[in-house]
Amino acid sequence: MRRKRLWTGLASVTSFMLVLSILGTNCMMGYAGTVNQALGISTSKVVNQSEASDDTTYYESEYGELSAENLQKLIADTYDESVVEEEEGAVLLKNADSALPLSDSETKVTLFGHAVAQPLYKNSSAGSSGYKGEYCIDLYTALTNAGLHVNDTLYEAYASSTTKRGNGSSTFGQEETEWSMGEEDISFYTDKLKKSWADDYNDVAIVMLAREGGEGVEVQTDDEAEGISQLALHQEEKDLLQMIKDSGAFKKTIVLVNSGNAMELGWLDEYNVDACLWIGLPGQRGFEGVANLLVGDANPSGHLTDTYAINSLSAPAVVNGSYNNQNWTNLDEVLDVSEENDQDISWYTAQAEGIYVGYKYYETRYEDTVMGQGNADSNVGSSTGTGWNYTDEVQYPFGYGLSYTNFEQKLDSVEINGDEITIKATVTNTGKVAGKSTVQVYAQTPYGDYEKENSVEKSSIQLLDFEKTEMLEPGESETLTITGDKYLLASYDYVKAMSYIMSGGQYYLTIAENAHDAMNNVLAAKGAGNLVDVSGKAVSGNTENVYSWNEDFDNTTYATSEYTGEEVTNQFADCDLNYWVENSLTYMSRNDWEGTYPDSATQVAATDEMIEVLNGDYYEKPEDAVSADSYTQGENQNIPLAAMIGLDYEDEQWETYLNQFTIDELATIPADNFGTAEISTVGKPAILAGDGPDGVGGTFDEEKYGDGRDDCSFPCENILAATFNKNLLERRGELMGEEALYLGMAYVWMPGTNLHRTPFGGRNFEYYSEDANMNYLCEKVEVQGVETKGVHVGAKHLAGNDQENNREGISVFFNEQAFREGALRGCEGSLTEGGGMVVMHAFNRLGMKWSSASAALCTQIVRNEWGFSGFEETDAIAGDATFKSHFLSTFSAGTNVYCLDFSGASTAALSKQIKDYDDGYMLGLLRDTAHRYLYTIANSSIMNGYSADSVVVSVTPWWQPTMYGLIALFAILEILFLVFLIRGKKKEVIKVEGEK
Amino acid sequence: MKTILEKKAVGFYFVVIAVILAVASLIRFTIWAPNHHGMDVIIIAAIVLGVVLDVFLMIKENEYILILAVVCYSIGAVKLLTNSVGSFVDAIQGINMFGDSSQVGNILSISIMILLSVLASIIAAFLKQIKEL
Repeated sequence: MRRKRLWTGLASVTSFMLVLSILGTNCMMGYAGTVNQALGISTSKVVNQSEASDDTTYYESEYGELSAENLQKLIADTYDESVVEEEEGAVLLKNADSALPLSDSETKVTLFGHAVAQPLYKNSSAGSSGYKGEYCIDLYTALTNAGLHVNDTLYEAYASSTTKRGNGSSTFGQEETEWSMGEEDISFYTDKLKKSWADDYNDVAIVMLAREGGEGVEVQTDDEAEGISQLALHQEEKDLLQMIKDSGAFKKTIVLVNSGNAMELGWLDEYNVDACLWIGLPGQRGFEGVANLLVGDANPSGHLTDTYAINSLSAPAVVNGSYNNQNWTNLDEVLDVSEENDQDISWYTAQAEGIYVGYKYYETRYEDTVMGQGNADSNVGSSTGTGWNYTDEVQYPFGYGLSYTNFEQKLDSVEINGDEITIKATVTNTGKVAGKSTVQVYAQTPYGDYEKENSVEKSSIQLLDFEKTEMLEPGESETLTITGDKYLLASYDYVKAMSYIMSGGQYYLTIAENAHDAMNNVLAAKGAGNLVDVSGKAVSGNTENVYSWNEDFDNTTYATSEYTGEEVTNQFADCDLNYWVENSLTYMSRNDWEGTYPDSATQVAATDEMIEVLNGDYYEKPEDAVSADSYTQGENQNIPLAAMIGLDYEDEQWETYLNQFTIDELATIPADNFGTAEISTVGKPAILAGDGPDGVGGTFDEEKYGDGRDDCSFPCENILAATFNKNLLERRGELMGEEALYLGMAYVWMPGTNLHRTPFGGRNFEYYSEDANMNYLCEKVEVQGVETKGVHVGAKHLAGNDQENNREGISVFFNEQAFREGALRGCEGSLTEGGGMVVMHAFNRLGMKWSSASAALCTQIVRNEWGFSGFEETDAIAGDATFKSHFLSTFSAGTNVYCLDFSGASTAALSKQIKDYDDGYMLGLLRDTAHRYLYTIANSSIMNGYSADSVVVSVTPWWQPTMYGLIALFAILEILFLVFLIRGKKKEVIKVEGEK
Repeated sequence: MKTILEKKAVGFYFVVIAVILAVASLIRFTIWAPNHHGMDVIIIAAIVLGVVLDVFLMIKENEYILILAVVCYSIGAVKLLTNSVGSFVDAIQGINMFGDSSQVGNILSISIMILLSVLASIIAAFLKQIKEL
């Protein structure tokens, strides 16, 4: 009897283990790519049939062979680069009476603000985890290493406090799951703590304030703490600053802004803050750079890539964007008739602001206020409720940044030759310490009758290009030559010319240290008076730094693509809300600020036609589609992928190579899981991809290289952009490319190219700027840096994914001028001038269509206009969103690959369509995808080591036989225990019968 | 009733605990799942079947039925966890992409309730359900 229970119990245990192992294995197989990536397993290896006569290192590491020793050099360089990026990217916003750098006698400091004990290295998102480990340097350590003595009493109190900042993204396995500002209540500062700085450590109060967003986590416009903008100063922070001020203990108060979003800083004077430094999110080593800046071992040279508004809610883009997205007014009807998930079809945002994002709004309205144009000084959009006034709205303009020294910038010459505008400018260090200076080139293009009649909006000032000097000693000069691309000054006329135009009339070009100074220079050149700087002080502008010329109206030069010769014309008419519902959306125009400023979010009902598009099924097999049999399939001629290395995209040999694939083999390629599986029959190795604008996200192979740490978590992308240093941008790219070489990645998802449409974007920290031209210029050189390593770059997210709130499936409405000059241009430089071979689409819809289903975007713009020959991939389709599962619609629109298609749903859908419906058209698209994907891979560093006689051998990951072994073990045990149980029961029956 | 219970051994009460936990988790799951894209008929069927089998066990002791009940509850619990991998990935990475990280607490609590049913059933399997006279 006892044994029977024992066997029953053991059989129950093994039953549970068997179920667990079977379902667990099934789940792991579904996520095989992710499991392999986490375990650092490649599922293929190269076997060379004979001694390779040719050199098979197609892309070399600049450090020489991939080795333990060279990896250490690379790691050291990435850490050094991080420090320099932070030194050159952090922006000195205020420095009253040269409070910074600290003097040699100012070494005893007290760190205030909970963030000093919980620094924000990076917001939650993909990429490197290097900031979590032992190789991360925090603010405290960095300051101590720099020779400062920190008040440990207060620091320890912060460190042991239960208060924690959280972004509310329910982070599992980490400390915080609740949204919280994470600042201490004033009661935290006990008398004992106050004594710690009253008696000592009172040379300097260093206050660090953090603002946290993240992937899928928009910074709040109406926050859970006080119902105010999360970017505003909160009560606990006010109390803290007041306490420091009232104590009178400190000689200086320094504020560090630890945020990837532009914080509201209109309060600095009120609390007697002497200096303020925006440090962004410094990654794992950036705090060393911050410390160097504070003690004067480095001189700040960073400049803002965003406008810092006094009131973040004053940006017109906020009216419809961020948390002000709207539901269709007939939402119930929409949900009733659609089979899509409710969340994915419920929201829309109408970009009524048009082109006027960031400085393009504030500076344009400033010019119009000064010039008395377009009712610019009316109350609409005013933060004070009275007439709109620039100095009431802007705290620090785009491009702003101070230094410990002074510079004089002189415009030497401007030459215009075709598309090229060559600017020479001389910079002289007129101060007392060495430093670097940024020359920012801005232009104004005409806003005349043609533009007003045809709704061609114009920013009054526009960044054309920039360069940075080398380190200039006091008195030293350097002449910079900057070559701007006139294309970046063209305007898109979607009404009349339906293409890019160069407006006719007077053009102005100027150099300046920020957008507002540039604006004043141009206004002065136009003879305007009543100019003010950002503090409200009267200024006269510098007309000597202005160059002016005249252009004839031109609607032809940029009406064809410079890359393909394709006609550039309207493609996104259906993304304008007015296309669907007449007069439903008024776009803001500088011609009439009062009449066009969006005073409330646009309300609209989705029409039947809109709902039909929302449903996402667009594909119908063309009537003239050829049979699938018209393509050669499975004709294996033993041509490996390595034989295709270096061949032109158009080379006929590609057709022969593709003829080797069966439909099933071809159909595996669109299913990406941070890489794709090997196809050994055609010599295609397994592919691994990285992901992260500020770190490719991987762990070095300890067995191979003797070091198992994470790749570098660099400072956030907007710190990198704020360096205004193209050499640093390019170097970041090169170093990330080098890391990818060690990590075996063929391509990496970076940089982030969306716009800081509002200051609240949860991922602003991994996008460069509010300005599309700035993005264009930054990504061009950073992408080039990565691509030189044979690692391909996939900019993300194309296009319009400028907010995290409702990002999946939200319908984004805009006019074509705003889209082409904004969201599209923000990514364009990566694919065209940058040479990036991969691109990731966005989660949002363009109008009613998901971006990956927009033929206008995926085919017409990316391929036909930009001449892109790489592959296009969706953003992640894993999860539950049905709007991403219309594979035939998206594939026929031009999408090639599906990101994180764990289950191979795209493979199944495409294969079924081709086989069940004899759809040769779809097979043709599949071959095109294979061509694009494999061309990209063949010309990547992943082919290092492969030659034409190499064989790709599949490698079964060790965990798979292990899991199957466990299933077998538990099954055998189960059977065994059941047999014992049955035998025991039989014996029991015999025994009972015997007793009877 | 008292007479019936007097005959029952400790194992019986573990079966009762398993049923109570299973019914409670079933109610929680059926309330939670439709609102969070978590509905899975296999999970419901497995738990319902487990409950039915356990109710049968409360009337008549049977080793095979007990093992089957463990299998049913195990399928329910493990299926819920594997269905929710995306939410766990999001929660670990601190992002909102593959699942719904805000539901990790609910997913875990429901799973734990079902796993406790599994545990109670396994313990019951090692014990007598009817006192030996």
